[in-house]
Amino acid sequence: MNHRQLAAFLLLPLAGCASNYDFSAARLPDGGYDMPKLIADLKASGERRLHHNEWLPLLRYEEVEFEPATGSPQGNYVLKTQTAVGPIYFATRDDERVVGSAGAPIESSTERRFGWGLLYHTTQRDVTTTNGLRQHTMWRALLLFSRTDSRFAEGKPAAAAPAPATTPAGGN
Amino acid sequence: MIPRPLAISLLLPLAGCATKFQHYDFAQARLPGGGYDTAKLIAELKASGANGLQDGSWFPLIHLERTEFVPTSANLPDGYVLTTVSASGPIFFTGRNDRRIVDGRGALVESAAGNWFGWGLLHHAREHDIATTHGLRRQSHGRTLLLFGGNELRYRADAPVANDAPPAPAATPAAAK
Repeated sequence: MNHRQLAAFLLLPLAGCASNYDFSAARLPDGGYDMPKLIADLKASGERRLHHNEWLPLLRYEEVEFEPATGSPQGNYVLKTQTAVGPIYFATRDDERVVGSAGAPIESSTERRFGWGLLYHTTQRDVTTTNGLRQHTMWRALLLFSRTDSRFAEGKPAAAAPAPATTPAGGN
Repeated sequence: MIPRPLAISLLLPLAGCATKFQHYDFAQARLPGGGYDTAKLIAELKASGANGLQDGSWFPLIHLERTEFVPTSANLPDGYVLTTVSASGPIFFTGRNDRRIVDGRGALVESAAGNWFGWGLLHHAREHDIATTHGLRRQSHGRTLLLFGGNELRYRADAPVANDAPPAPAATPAAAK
């Protein structure tokens, strides 16, 4: 038995997968998700939330979740995707997208960490405001070097289409 | 305990560094509720012909207070920024700051208010409001003794939004009340 077979032998029994929805069914060609379809499927399912996660210890963790949003007006929904690779979440990416009852974007955020956030950490948060799209970005490297910036995107409509979610869906 | 004469002899030379800088008396634009009359500030700024209105005072190790009203910079909607900072104690031991962005008519675009104690190690809190198309978005953050605290994000559809809402009272004191 070589090292690769040994690793597979040790890790595979620990691998896990839990799902009550196939998110690839709601995937759009541009990489995003069909929000109205997710809303309709959540209502039709009778579940509290739609979720899919896969876990391979020390190597990869992936979770996609769609549920009614808390802390915002009733009828809104939030789509969360989380991807982590490496030992103890060495590199991660978290996306969160809040949409209205018709699937229109309200706000979205993306957070990336590398080296558990110690080596590099960046966040971007877009909020649909009465003055256009507010984009807040922050990055920090080696805990010492950082930059924060907020800007209101000129010319972008307040209800801009959400950027495609780049984290993979469950079935892709 | 430091004897009083010693403390006085140490602090008195610093008093020479105390500064009072005033280009505008913000007390004139103070509302009974504690906020500022933004429309009046906009009119006064235009009338002054200056780049901004400022008021403040500084006494080293004891107190810093600054109020500023300036046009917004690039990347922000056309409007104005009202900033108030008030800090006390050695090296800003405790204090609070407020930053409010309003549009050209004085309506709220966003605001951030924070306070700290013990340089923020003992306690710090921050509240960030943004006027959105779905109501007032409030993000709160607080931490005590570096361990206890949390974050909260809430949309308040019932809260007044940008165009017809009066600015919330600025909690930091104006220069001359």
